[in-house]
Amino acid sequence: MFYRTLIAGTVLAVLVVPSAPGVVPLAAQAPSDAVTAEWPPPPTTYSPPRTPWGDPDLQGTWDSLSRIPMERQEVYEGKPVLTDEEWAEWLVREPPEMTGYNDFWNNRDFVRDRRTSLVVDPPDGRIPALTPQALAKMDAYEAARSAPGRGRYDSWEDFRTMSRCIAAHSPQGPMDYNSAVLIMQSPGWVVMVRERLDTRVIPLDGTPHLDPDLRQWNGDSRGHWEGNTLVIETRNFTDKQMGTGSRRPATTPGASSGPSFIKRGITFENFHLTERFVVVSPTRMHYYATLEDPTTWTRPWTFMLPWVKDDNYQMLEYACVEGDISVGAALAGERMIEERERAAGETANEEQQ
Amino acid sequence: MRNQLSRSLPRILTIAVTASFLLLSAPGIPAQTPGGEIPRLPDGTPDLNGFWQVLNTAHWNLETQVGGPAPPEGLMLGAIAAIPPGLGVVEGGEIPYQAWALEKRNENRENWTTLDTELNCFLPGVPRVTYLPHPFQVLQYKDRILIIYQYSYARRDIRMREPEEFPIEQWLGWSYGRWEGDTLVVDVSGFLPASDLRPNEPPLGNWLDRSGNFYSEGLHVVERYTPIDATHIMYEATIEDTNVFTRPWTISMPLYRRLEPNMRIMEFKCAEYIEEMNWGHLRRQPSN
Repeated sequence: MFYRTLIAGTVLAVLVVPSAPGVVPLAAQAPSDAVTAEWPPPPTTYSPPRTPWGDPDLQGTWDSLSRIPMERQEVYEGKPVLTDEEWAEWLVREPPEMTGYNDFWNNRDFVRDRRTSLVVDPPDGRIPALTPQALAKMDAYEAARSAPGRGRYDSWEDFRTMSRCIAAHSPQGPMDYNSAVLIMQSPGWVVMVRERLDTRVIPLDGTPHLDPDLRQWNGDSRGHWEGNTLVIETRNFTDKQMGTGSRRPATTPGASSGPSFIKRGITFENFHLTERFVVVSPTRMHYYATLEDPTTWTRPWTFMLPWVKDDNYQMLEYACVEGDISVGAALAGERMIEERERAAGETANEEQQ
Repeated sequence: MRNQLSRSLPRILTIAVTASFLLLSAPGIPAQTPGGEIPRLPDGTPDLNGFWQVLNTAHWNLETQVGGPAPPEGLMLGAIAAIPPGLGVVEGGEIPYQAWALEKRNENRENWTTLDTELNCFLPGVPRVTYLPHPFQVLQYKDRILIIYQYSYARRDIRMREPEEFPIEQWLGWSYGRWEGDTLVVDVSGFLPASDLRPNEPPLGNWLDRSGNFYSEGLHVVERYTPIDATHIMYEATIEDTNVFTRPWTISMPLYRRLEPNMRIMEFKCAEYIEEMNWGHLRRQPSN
């Protein structure tokens, strides 16, 4: 029962499982498979249906499973979009099927897009340089983590916020699994139910942002319509929200958890996020996220992640803290190792004496 | 005879007044309230969109309770953490437990400050999620009604169709809705028993309040949301669980519309608020 139904929940929803790399089984999302990397988004000729109260209707379940790397690899310099030939090669080298330990759960269809990076601005497909201030912050964080007397896991704060079951992050970058968002609207509101943990409740009524002193994990969001495009502005992020990425460029496709396209040590408190939701066909939406923070990057930058509508996608309850034993077990393990080392040190001292 | 009548007249009057009061306040019977007409969608369906909250002590105890001091863990917070009194919301006053279950409930109650799943920020089931002391937002559209609760990451996707076989147990179960006149009827089953996470302990079920009232995975709930004017919904939930109770039983309470112009759901990410409690003793101590 358990297996049968889980398959129903996670895999059958999109039964088009690629049988071999290079096969592109794309019944549902055939239109505009290849996307140009234009920024700002070109006006779309597609006009989405309307809600009874007149707003563009974006409601339904959208998936953004993606294997496009955030940043462009060097081999593709100057090539924002792959040719047919390069695309065929890419499929062999970077098969869209997962190759991780939990393939079974992940082996769904990825949203196809022949771009070589999610970053559309700057045009080189790379996240802009960090400011000296941001680099100093990263150095300070690393130094504190590797200081004498500092262990791997001194407290729960050494775990990413997803592992602590607190929050995912905004903007929503590429993910390898549980990547769906259910959009619901009512007059004056849009709600984004993320498969992982968060529900974003966004007013569209023009009310001002929360007081700058009030900080939340997902910040404070306000939305408005620009034509058929939903625009959401977010600020008031807490400085407890932090990137999880290494110092290397974010050219590896996918990200299992955490905002890995933002570096470890970079915190969110000064982020000003602008998200644009551009529906381009009945089943496809382009999600643009612009991050602006003069204390972190030398210029604003934007990535675009394609979303595909899939109303058969069955989102399951994301109970997290209810089943979490990892953080407590890891902390207990670290304390046990320290105790052993301390005891071994004492024995060695006694032998010397 | 006359004497007898005059002696019992006040009693009869009291009963009559009480009866009419009960009748008026009974769920499903629209009372005369100053709250305005029930808002409706273009197709005539009641429009439940907006923010709602319960205002009673059901989250403490579904049955009537008197006030009292905080448990030892909260004593230093004095009157702030003291337990408020409140009238029960159970029809007939008492929850019809099977004998063993009543014993278990009482045992739960004695140990509530270590056993209640709310303590660990766990998802509640239905109906507890409704009367937690937090607001919730309803979004209603076409074939689906979504409820976003402020507590933790609780949310319910109510599909407006016949109940189907649920694919997997969930803490908040699976909800299927239909309209009966102006009443939204929601059928909920497929609940996850908390015992799954404690395989070596006897089944715990999940809790209905902070007073040890509980249910098993056999829970089946039928909720009824009946708008009585623009700002009130009468909420009723019938609770059926043959593992625990001798018969189905019902709770009812009004839901109040939150009218603040700047009203909205904020983050109550309690997973963060329990970390020190659960792992404080595992924090690395500075070495000497």
